[in-house]
Amino acid sequence: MTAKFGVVVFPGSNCDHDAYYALKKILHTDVTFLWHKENDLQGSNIIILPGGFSYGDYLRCGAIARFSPIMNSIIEFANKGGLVIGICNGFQILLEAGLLPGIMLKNKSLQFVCKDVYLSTENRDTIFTKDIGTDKIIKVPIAHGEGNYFADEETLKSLIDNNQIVFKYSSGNGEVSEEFNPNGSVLNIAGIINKKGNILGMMPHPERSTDPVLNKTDGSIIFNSILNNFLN
Amino acid sequence: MVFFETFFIPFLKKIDGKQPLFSEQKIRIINLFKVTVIIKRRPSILDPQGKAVEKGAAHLGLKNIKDTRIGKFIEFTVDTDDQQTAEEEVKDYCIKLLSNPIMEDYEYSLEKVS
Repeated sequence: MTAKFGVVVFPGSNCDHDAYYALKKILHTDVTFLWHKENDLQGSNIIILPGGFSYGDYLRCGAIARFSPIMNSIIEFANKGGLVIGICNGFQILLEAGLLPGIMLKNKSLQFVCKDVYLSTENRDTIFTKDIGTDKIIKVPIAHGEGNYFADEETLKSLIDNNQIVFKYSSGNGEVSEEFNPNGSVLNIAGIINKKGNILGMMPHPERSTDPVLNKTDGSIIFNSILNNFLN
Repeated sequence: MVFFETFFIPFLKKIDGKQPLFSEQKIRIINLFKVTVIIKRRPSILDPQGKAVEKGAAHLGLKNIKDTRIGKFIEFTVDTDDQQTAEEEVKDYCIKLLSNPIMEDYEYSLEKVS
């Protein structure tokens, strides 16, 4: 079985083409767009819910996209163990769909934050992070107004106990502290995974750091990690 | 007058047994429920928006404003005669879409309109 990425296009998605470009032109993988009104995943075995402002972010980020027809197929696919990555708005959709625990609040500063950040990889034992080096640090950009991850204590304890916190905002040396928290996320959380390890949600944009022209390529490690470990 | 008969009468009358393009609307008694929903963030969840707005109050010189929390007010109608059906749909709407039960509480009120 060869890897085929499916990038979902919701009305208001705006990182769908970034993801498509990164996968097709930079990483030379098989990738297709999936329109949100379709039910067919077109043989995709890795689904990407891209960033953007699905349905204008009305009501709550991701709340309406969660009911798009394609989400039924994706939930079914994910529950069977299919690989799903939600990036930024995609992460918010995964939370609204209940595929990952917790909620997203407005950034503590109330400002939209757009900059490169360092992430400390807290769990390198996932299909998405196996290829990240032993220093655990990657540099990828964030761009969001509501990335302030929050969960109650019980949920946080469960995330910690099951090693589900995958990325935390950190310094370039891997120091995790409030100083390096761009949005107020509890425990500096930037990305989490479900217990089974097949659904990853992350606020930072790995697809925006794949092209060597931009002089940052750490995001490629995540996609290559999937490709390299896909068959295992 | 000829103009009127040629161009407007056909719209109003049945011609050759065909339905007119415009007909008098059937009059029926419409029963529906007017619903208002208020979504509030749980007290344990921070409300940075409320805090920011409150800073504006301070800048206005309002010294006694405290605990500003911002929620949502939503109104809509439910087109049914049956109150139980209406309430079931409203609750479903509130729980599954309008609010996120993890961080928000909702309250609603129904008013029958005839």
